[in-house]
Amino acid sequence: MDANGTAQGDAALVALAREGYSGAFEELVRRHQTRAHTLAVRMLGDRHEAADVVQEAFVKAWTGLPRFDDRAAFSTWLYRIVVRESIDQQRRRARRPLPVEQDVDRPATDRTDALVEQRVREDAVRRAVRALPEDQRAALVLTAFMDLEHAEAAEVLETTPDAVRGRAARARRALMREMGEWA
Amino acid sequence: MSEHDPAAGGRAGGGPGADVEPDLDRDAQPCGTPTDALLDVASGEPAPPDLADHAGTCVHCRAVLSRAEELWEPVRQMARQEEPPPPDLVASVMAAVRRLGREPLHLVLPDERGTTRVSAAVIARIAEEAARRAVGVAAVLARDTRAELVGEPEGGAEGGAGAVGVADRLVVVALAVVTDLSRPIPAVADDVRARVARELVGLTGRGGAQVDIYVHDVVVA
Repeated sequence: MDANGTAQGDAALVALAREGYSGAFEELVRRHQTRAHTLAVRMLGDRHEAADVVQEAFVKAWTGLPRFDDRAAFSTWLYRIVVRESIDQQRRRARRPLPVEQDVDRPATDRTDALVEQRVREDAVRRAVRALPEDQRAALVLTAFMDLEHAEAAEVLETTPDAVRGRAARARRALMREMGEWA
Repeated sequence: MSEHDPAAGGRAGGGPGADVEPDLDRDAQPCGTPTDALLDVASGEPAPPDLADHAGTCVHCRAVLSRAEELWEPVRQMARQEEPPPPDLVASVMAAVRRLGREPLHLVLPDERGTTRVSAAVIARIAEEAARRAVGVAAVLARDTRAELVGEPEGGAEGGAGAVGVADRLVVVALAVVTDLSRPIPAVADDVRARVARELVGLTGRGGAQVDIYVHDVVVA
């Protein structure tokens, strides 16, 4: 199903969910959980926190369904909630050090030098992203990592495409300079 | 590209940026090209034609581009990766949703010949109208509260103004009331409860009603 078809399907599910059919909402969760989780991981740099944030975001989406503006895509609205929850979460643990991501998904024999190097680089990216100001981080994550157009990201962040473009550009430059320090 | 100093550029002999140490921290390269413009290009932004032409032959720009693309590559890789959610995420979310008790959005009136369901919004409206007739009530704030329609299956209801739930055999309504101070608040609350309960029981046939009241504001004549 293409994006347009998905959006139309989402609208029907949202309508049913609003009427109290939780099965329809469950399908929305299934459809969007991976992208929402990816967004939270990129915003926070921590998978455990991201899982909690995404769960909370979906629950807030459920309780907020009656306020959802039908003119927007469900995904746009959901991403907005995920971004806000992620920022709130980061504020809560502002001074806590970033936990080291454990390479638990791969067997030890697969942990080649290349993988280790990739992990180091990814860790540098996570740290650099996390160090960005909130508005720049959100713009960067939505455009560079989630591949949203500036207009889509602007809708998520409730700002203008030009503002997103500017914030993302500043974020990219800061990120590269920061990573240059790590490399 | 007029702002570039051709003399500062020149051709790279042995590959991109050969013999030139890229400096990403300076505002502009010796050729005059703003470093930020090169970083934008390295991270995937389209290059203006004049910059593309110049950077193809300028050792400084090529060195910065090469270095910046190398730094940006992990971002590209991460952008291609999805982060699979925990396998129990859907179950966890739905368990939390069920705990909120928003599923009983309808009051169910069973009958031998079928089931009648009354929307919680209708219950809220009935309660609103009944509460509005109580002496001492200036307004009942329940109109835009369908978002807060939260029922507690175990009994009781919670949520924002005008929340409605259905608890076993008891209709539970929560209303936000604005009083005009013409009567003591407990008397107003008693009156609201009596009217709402009478109206709901009469119209739905349910055995009882619990009316939770939040005195939200006061208007002084």
